[in-house]
Amino acid sequence: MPKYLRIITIYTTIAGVGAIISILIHFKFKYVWDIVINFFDATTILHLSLLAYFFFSLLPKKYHKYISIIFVFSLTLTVVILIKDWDSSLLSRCFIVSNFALILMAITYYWDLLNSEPRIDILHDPAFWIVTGIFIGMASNVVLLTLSHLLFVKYDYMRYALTSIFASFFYAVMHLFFVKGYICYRNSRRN
Amino acid sequence: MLSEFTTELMVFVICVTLIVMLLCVFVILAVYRYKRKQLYYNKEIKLLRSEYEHTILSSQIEIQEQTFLHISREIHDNIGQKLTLAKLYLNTLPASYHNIPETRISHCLQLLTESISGLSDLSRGMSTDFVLSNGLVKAIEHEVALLNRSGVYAARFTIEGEELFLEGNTELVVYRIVQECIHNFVKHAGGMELLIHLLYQPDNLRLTIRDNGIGLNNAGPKGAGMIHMRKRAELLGGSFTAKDAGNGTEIEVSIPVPHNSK
Repeated sequence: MPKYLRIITIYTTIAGVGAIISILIHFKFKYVWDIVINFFDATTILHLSLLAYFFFSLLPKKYHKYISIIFVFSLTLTVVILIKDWDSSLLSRCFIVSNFALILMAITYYWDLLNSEPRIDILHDPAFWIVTGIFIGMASNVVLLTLSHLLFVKYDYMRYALTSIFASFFYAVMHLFFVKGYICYRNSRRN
Repeated sequence: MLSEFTTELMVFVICVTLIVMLLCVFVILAVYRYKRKQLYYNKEIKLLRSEYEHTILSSQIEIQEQTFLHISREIHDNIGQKLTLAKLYLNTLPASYHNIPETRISHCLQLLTESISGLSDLSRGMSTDFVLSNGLVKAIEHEVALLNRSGVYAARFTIEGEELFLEGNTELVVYRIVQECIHNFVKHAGGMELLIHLLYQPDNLRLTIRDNGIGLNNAGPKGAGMIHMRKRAELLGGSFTAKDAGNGTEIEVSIPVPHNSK
């Protein structure tokens, strides 16, 4: 299995375990948002670093790799600083910033892909499907979180509920793309 | 209050949907652009490979023809001359010389005559000069006559259509294919009859060679000869097909001829 696929496997496993834990927390301590939010807060850094590491191992050009590393470091630092002065609305801002970095990395991947010799069949390439999943998932989440901040100013609870529903849906879509990537990998090994 | 929330919700849903659609369009466009580029790239690679193979094949054939020519000249100018000289010496030898029986001398003379004739045929078959100076038809007739002379096989050569002027290289390639077919017929087919048919069409030369041998299906694995014949035909932009005709093998070669070849 290629390195980038191993990273995604770890990411998916952590995401799955995280989702189960958050559901357990929610049912055990009903309406204790702070605990759930704090938990997600901790996973933000993990989410960002794992996906950034995925791009680091995937991008072919060295300078793209280093730019991605600088991005991740600076953004992680931002996230840490933001968490220090805790405010519940900051969490989604952290997500926006980290997801934005991942979108840029996905665009870098597309840029590299379109400007290199077209030797691979992208529709059967696991990396392409995984990056597309990240790109669509992250870009949708960025738009979602930004809009929720702009629109539902008066309806705090509804904002959380709607954002959670839509964000979960887009994360599910992203993981479906990951599944497609796994299927492509399995098929390529069979052939 | 509810209506305000509904409006905000609608705006939210519409915006998110639009963005998702835009993202999908972006991905589809990227795939489309990549695929188009890939198609162009593959075409270019295929063209380059074909050109490369063409060059390699041309060089191979050129080297082969040069070798043939060299051997042919060597046979004609060196070995042939020496054998003719030996025959001359034998002819001028008195019959009573060293009490050699006359029948033995005449037997030697006959053997020498056959060797000279055989070598001369071999030299002619190998030489490109023979095809280039006498033309394809004469060269094939020569090959057919050689085969018939053996007394074992019955070969026929027929021509249909108005004869076209062909480039020397084309004639040479067709001639080599005929030679290879005759060689295969003698070596593998196990048949007695061979028919060579040359059809001149306005823009095409069609060569059909048919025998009454064991056929392709019973002849075992295809050898290098078939591959070479196909490659030679493809070198001229033509096609080569070999099939089992039930009671023998049928080989069909089609070579395009430029319009101004009359």
